[in-house]
Amino acid sequence: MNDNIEMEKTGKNRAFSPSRTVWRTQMAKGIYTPHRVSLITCMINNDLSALLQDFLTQLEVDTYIEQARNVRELVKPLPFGIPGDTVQLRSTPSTIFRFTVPRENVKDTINAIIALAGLNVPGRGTIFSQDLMEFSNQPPTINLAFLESKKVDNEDVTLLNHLSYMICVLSENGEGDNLAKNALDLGICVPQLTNATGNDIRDQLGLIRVTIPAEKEIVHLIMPEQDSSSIAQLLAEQAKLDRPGRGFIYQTPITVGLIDTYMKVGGQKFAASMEQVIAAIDSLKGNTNWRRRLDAEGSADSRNACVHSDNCEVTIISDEDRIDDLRATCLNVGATGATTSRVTRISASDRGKLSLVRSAVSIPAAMADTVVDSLLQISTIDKENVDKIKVLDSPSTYVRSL
Amino acid sequence: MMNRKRLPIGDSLALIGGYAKSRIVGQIKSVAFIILYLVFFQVAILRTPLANALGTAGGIALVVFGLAFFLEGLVLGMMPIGERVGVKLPAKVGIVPICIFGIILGFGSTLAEPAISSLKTAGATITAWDSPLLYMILDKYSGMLVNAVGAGVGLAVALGMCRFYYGWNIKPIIFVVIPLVMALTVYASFNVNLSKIIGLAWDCGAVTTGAVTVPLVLALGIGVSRTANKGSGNDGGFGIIMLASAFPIAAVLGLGLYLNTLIPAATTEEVFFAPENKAVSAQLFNGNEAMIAEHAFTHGSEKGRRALFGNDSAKFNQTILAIANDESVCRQYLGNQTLQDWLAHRAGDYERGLLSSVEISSEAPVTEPLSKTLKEETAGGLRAVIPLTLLLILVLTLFLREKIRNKDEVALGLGFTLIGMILLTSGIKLGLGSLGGEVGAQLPKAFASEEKFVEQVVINNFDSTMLYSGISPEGENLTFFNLYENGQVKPVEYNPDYYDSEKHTYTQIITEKPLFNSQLSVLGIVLVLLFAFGLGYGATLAEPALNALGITVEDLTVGAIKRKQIVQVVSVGVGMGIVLGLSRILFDLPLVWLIIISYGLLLILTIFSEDGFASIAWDSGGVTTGPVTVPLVLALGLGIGGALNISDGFGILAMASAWPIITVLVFGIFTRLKQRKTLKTNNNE
Repeated sequence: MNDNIEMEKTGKNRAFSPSRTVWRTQMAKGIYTPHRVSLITCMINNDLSALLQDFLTQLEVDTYIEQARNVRELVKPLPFGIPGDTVQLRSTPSTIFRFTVPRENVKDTINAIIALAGLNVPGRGTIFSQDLMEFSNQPPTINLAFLESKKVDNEDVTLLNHLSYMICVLSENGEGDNLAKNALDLGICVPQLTNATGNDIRDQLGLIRVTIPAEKEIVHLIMPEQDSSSIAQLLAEQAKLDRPGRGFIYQTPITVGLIDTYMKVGGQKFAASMEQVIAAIDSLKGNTNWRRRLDAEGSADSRNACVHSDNCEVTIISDEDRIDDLRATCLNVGATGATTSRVTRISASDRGKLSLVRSAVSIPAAMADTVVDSLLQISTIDKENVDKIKVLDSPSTYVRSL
Repeated sequence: MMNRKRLPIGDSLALIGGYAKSRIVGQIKSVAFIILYLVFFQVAILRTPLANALGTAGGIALVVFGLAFFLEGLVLGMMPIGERVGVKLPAKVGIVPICIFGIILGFGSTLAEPAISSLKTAGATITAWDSPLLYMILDKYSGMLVNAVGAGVGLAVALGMCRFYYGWNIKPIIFVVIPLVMALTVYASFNVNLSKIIGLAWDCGAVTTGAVTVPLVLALGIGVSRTANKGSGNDGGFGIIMLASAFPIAAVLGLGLYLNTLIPAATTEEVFFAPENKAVSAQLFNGNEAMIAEHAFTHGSEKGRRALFGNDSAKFNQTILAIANDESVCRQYLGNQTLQDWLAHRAGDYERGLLSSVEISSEAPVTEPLSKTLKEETAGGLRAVIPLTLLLILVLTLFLREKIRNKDEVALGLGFTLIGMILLTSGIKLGLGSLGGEVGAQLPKAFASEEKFVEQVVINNFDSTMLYSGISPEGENLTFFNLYENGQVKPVEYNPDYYDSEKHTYTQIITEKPLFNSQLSVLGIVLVLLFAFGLGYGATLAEPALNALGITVEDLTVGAIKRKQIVQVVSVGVGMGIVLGLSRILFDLPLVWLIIISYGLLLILTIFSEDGFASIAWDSGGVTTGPVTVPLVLALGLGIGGALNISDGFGILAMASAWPIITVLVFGIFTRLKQRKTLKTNNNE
């Protein structure tokens, strides 16, 4: 029965879902019960983060916060009346909030946050939800009474579906800005940049590892699903990801979401900016299917050389102390490419002072079960409610391994 | 743990090569400005050839390697350990042990990185009769001074920890602490003795936070604030350094208040050295009368020395001659100074005449041998790095019972830090410092309007028949003689005062002409101030603690504020601060007013700043005065202060740490306005 709902939600056209396989296997084993939840991710301007943090505290959900910045293009006319514009990148600090809620509360929560932070106004932030499986000590809870009191009916806001969340992990310092610029030039969305460390090559080396920087720049993009693989291809080509060791791109599906389209600041020459027009049509149509790109076909010859389909994203939130063990476990079963970033938790119940990290790895579906198994064994899910493991489908991954 | 892969040697070398190259090129970029600037100034504007160019170049190479090692060591070893202790402390223990740890760490770091030596350099020209309190604090009670500063830093770290632990806002703390310190300063300015130590107190605040302490304290703060259940905000870890700069000021002023009750009042030189006042004056020298005499010779003028011998000329002459002839008497009166040096800089005309047979020249002091410098700096480096690291490791392993992650990396990092520290400080002593010192010493002639004594040469068998006459366009009669020297004949103007007809000797006084004519000394002053700005700017670019702060800021803001931006903004601020501090010395402005105006402006700017940015800005003030800036700035201040007979070189560093706060706050407010615009334009839609 549950199975059928799963199928409906993650995409009717997909016959195979690796995360569902993991879920089924683990259910059959009966040791750890995966919870079927929705992960809400909200990337919001720093000025609004205090407001949202307050809301989430009252909502009594465990929220993980990561610092980020978003990049927009600042378009200025050239001085002295010279025709033409200058385009600069401008960064604004932003905050990424991630929290899980029971699936039935997703719409209300998202609507309440949109109303609270005015996310329907472009330039303020992005919010989206993903249906996934979470292994944790307790299923997520939510203060229903509070949510009920904040319930709003956003008639004029249409949440979009058929979106894709693309995560670009880049190893070269400064590449993040380049990729963000490319994304802006392609008119995809406002890119969010975060920092992370990726230790997999380093962990396998001796002391010589200090010569390889562990820092990665991660660019988060949200785009229509139908364009995602061709855009991934384009971005990968521009960032030269076909060369080894430069990074990789993968994507995960979004159930519903709202995109920040305020990509260019200044220099508006029409009554409405192109972004506003697109946002208006999006909300009229309720989806982004109409925006099928013509330029995103890519060069056919290099196509699919490095694209793996049917991957799985496994995310672990855990105490920083154990991350080395968890990563070693991943490596031992052959899962490479874990990126780790620092998160701060705000939680209704204070469970001691911990420094937490969030580690994400994109792995082939065939490996998913083994990885989840070994992670579960080493984690402390059965004892305390700190570690959380999330499994999510990742339909296409652009990776060139070493 | 998984099996380690082994790389072929070729690959390893390629990796190490690329890694080393990137680090060294980075540091070459950061020191290039200051070096080219100094050389340009020396050669092109002051028109003096570089002395010991090879040694200087070697020293600069050491600085580059030192900076590269040091910074990499901080990132690999020091900062991860500091952060880990910060993360684990609140998890395992309560606030009281955290505060105790903070006090120990703050106190220990002050002892480990003694800024007192640079303060003593700044106060080297202080005279006991003019500023007895200042003299005593720097000399007799310097131990007490270090302890007071240490206590201040300790309290500051403890308070900073409390702030992170309880999630207090930085602004209320700034608005309480800074006005308090300002009020104390104003109070001190009304007392003659106390007003003299204001410069010392504020400079103490600036220099206490050294190159090792800053990154360590930053990392610790980041650790503690990471575990605080407070959520977002990007000032995690900042704010302690600002407190560690402010509290020592209060501590030193407090020490001054206490000691002021025990000290004789300021007086004139003659009164101070007069035999009837010996008992009173001896209080400043632990009752040691021999030290009074030494002070008269090393710090006083001829007047003071005459007073010392009760204006008994015979005894005075006898002593002066004994100094020239007897090595032990020389040591007794001149201390470490050489007779030549003393004659060139300290002696009066009469004394010089008395010892005219002694050949004197004001040659630059012989540079210390490399091995000795390395030895000294190794000791200094060990003392700065080892105790603090040991404290952290012991707290982490024994007290908190935690493992050290990536032991090999941390060990390598600590080794790098140590090597870097040693290379850096030796390099500064051998290269950058001597270059800065040379320029600093030459600089006063840029605004000097009179000729300055350089050296004297005694010409034997002089005969007045050698003289001939000349005339100037105004019709003035002049007398010359020809001097044959180095294969050249040059006419020298004859001054009958220097001719000794009995011995048939003529003492030729060689003087230095001012760089500009006296009418143009305004241009000279502008030039000096311009030089000061560039010096401050360039030296700060290379400051390792600032780079560590920049890395931290870039990390915490996920690159929204770039390291380069912070480094630039801070460097400009230091340049401006040094210009202001130097103006105080040039124009003898009261330091208290400069402090009140600068910090008043700071408080106003703070009101309009974002919380997170305010703490970053206030911290950047403390990091600027490190191992690169301090020696250069002091050389400049002392060179100019010495030429103008100003009693001390204090105050420049205080200004150099106030102004970067101003520039960073302004930068923050502007950035903020830009970011706000993005949000605002959308609200209007």
